Amino acid sequence: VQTKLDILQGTLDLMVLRTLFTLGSLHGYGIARRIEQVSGDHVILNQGTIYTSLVRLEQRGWIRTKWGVSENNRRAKFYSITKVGEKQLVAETENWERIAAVMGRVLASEGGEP
Amino acid sequence: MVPRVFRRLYYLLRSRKLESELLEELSCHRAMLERHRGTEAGRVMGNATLAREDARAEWISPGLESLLRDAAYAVRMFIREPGFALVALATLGAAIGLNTSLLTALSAMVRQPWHVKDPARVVRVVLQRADGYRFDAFPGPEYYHLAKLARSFEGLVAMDRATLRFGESDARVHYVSWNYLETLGAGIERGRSLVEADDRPESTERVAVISHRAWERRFAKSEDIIGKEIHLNGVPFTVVGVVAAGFASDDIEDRDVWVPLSLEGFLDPVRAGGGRRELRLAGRLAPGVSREQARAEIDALSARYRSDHQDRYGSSSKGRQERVVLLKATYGVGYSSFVMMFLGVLLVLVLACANVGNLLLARSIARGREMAVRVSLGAGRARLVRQLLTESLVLAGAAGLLGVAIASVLPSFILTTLIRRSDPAADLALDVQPDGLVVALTAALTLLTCIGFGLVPALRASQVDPVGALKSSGGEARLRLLVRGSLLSLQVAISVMLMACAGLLFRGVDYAGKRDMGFAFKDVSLISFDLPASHQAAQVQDFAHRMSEAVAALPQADRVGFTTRAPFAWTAAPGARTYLPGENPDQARFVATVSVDRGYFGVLRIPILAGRPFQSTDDSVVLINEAMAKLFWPNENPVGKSALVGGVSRDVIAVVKDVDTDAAPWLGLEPVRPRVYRPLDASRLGRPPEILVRDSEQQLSQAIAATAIRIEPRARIRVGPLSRNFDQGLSGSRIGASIAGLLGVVALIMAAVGVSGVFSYVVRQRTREIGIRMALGGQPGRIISAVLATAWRALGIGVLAGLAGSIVGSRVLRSALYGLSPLDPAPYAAVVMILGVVALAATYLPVRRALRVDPTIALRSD
Repeated sequence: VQTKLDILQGTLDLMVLRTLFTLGSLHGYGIARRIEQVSGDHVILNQGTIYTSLVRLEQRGWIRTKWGVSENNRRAKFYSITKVGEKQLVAETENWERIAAVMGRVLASEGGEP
Repeated sequence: MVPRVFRRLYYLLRSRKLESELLEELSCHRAMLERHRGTEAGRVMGNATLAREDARAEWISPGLESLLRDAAYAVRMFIREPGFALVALATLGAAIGLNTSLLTALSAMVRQPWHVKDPARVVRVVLQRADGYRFDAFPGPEYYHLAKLARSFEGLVAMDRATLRFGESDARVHYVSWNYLETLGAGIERGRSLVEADDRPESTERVAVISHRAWERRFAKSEDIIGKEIHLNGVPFTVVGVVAAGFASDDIEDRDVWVPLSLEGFLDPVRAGGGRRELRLAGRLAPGVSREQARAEIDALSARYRSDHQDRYGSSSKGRQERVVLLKATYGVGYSSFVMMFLGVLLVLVLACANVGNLLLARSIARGREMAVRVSLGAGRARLVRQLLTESLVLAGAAGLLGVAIASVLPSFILTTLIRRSDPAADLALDVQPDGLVVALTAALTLLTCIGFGLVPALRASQVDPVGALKSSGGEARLRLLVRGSLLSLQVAISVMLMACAGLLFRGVDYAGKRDMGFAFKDVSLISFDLPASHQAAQVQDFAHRMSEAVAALPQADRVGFTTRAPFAWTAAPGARTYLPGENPDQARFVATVSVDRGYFGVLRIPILAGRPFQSTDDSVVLINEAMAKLFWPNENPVGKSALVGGVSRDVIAVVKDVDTDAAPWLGLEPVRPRVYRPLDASRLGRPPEILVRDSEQQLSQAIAATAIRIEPRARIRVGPLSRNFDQGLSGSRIGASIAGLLGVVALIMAAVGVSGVFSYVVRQRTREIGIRMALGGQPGRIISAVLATAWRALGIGVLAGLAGSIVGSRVLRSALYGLSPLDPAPYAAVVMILGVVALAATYLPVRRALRVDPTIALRSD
């Protein structure tokens, strides 16, 4: 029985942006772990998919990369949010809240079976 | 969007490095994951390969790579099926090539500036009527007036084209104002350009400037060309200069010689003398002057000049009806014929699309398994459609290239052929090559074509049921057959329409040629004379006198007629203002006039309906035609009445039948105009008369020509059948009909290929069924008709739809049919017959194959 939420398309990008905004520079594993922790294990994350998201965000210029060294002494790419990315984060967050509010109203409306 | 494209290219170029970095990241990630989560790592990580694929898809456009791959696959496939590829390529290439060729010709004529220096500042000065019709018609004196007074132009130039005898052959000559070469910036290779002194009426020097090509061809580039004497129509001219190659204006044919305008009189006394000469004007705008300023100035100057010289323009007191407009100096073109041709070639393109679409459908059957395999392996329908469309695009792209290649050869070939019909030495001055715009339009057309023929087959082919398709290759959807049937009908309908139009146009020309003009010109020869330009009027009249005496002495004198204007002159007929005694001269009506001798009516077999023919002593009498009688004396017998013709009182002695001697074929539907025949009086002639002779062998004509030479050895004499003049008037329509015929033949071939393809396909599809029926003892004939019924029906529907379409569409052609009804049954019947024969031929092989089906083999197939 599936109890965890599938990630809505596009929401992963927003989560990654938010994570980087909060924690500054992180490598892919760090981002994935943080998202899992924050979500309280409510999210199924194929951690590989996070790299698709990272490539996409980098292409759009919302995050930048830098090679560094990870905790286990391996070479790793560290990601951080850019100024454009921060603006985008604000816009996307508002957008998301609007959607969430609408969804909330729709789901709370009376007269229907849940 | 551009940056994104560049970024993608960047990623494409650096993809190897990026991928290895990604791999490194992923393995690092996994290592950390294993440290924290142990054996769970694999599951949490998910499909690493998929992750890599997805990331790659982000780097490079997911479409781009697969597009290239699909394209490469398509090319390989076409190479493996050369038969299909060649037929499709030839069909599409021919259709796109026809369209592109027409675009090329149109673009060159409408957009290409004259080959002169700085053409952007050069404008053509033309008159435009209220109804939008434009024409060049500035009489010489008006031009000189405008050129003297206009301030908006660096130079206002005038030109007039002519073909003159140059040594043994003909030369294309431009009479030009002296400033023409200088204003348009012609490069002078040898000698000098024309100067003002060359173009004065009183100048005694006769000078000419020749083209580089004429210098090369006629004088082998001889160094002593300057000062050499050349003869144009027998008149000596001195060459003063050679114009460098690459200069051209005003006409798509190149020019051999430029002669000052004032010398036109030496070469062509008729045109210059009558004051009817009409010049074409162009000008180079002065610096800082806008086109509108220049237009306003010329318009005002011309209007004032014309109102000051109303007598010369013969126009009404309302003043000039036209306004001056300035046009870009291009080679110009009549759009209406292009519109018709575009309709034709677009139909051919639609036909080609239907044809190739059908071929693709047939192919998609063969590829049913391939599609099924792809679907089973997880390809989505969109992906399949994209792949199939890519294949179509490869095909269309190749056809587009072929089309551009055709267009870089065909238009110049056709135009050169056309101008060489009248002058075998002429070359094209216009540069007819596909330009950027044409290539862009062709690309757009190619894309449309690709969708036109590729989309339906792609959608159909991608509708696969993997299980069914993999089990067997049969079980073809009815729907697909329906699509094929409609495509077949469409092809047949279009080819019927194109052939019917071509047939109508040919019939129209033929009809015009056979039309009863009211007089007989089949066995009539025309003799016309050019006397030396130096001849005074008295010498011309003396020549005319002696000719008529010599002819009167001949035993066959009743087979000879003299006139000032032979039939089919293709120019506006001269005329006179005419009114009746007692009428107000302001009410005068314009009637055509021609001077003839009494033999004229006999030679042309024009019946005299009432009254008597001319007597040799007649002077102030006229014959009139029925239209004139009706106009002036309705319900009265005009014989014995008199009228003031051009101010002179004339007695009407006879009425002759209305005949269409001046009817240009394109005006053939107009009623015959009122006409007055005056007795030809040699002592009033300004130029030699023309002689009409009724003899089929031309022996009498030759004898008369020989007499003329004895009377005036310097005369230049032309003898030829009168019908030649008539044919010349129809040549334009013949060309139109030939082009339509070409399209019709192309359409017919394509339709034949299509019909044959569909029938073979049906037979192949239903081989098993035929086999079963045969095995059960069915009659071969009935089996065939049952199996092919749908295809036959599609064919029949196509023919009917095509007939309906051409009956509706033929109204457009009405103006080109010379009075032939657009519903003339002959072309339609011929088309149906031709198509029937071709369809039978095209279905012969498939039907034979069906009849030869061997049940044992058929039942084993698949």
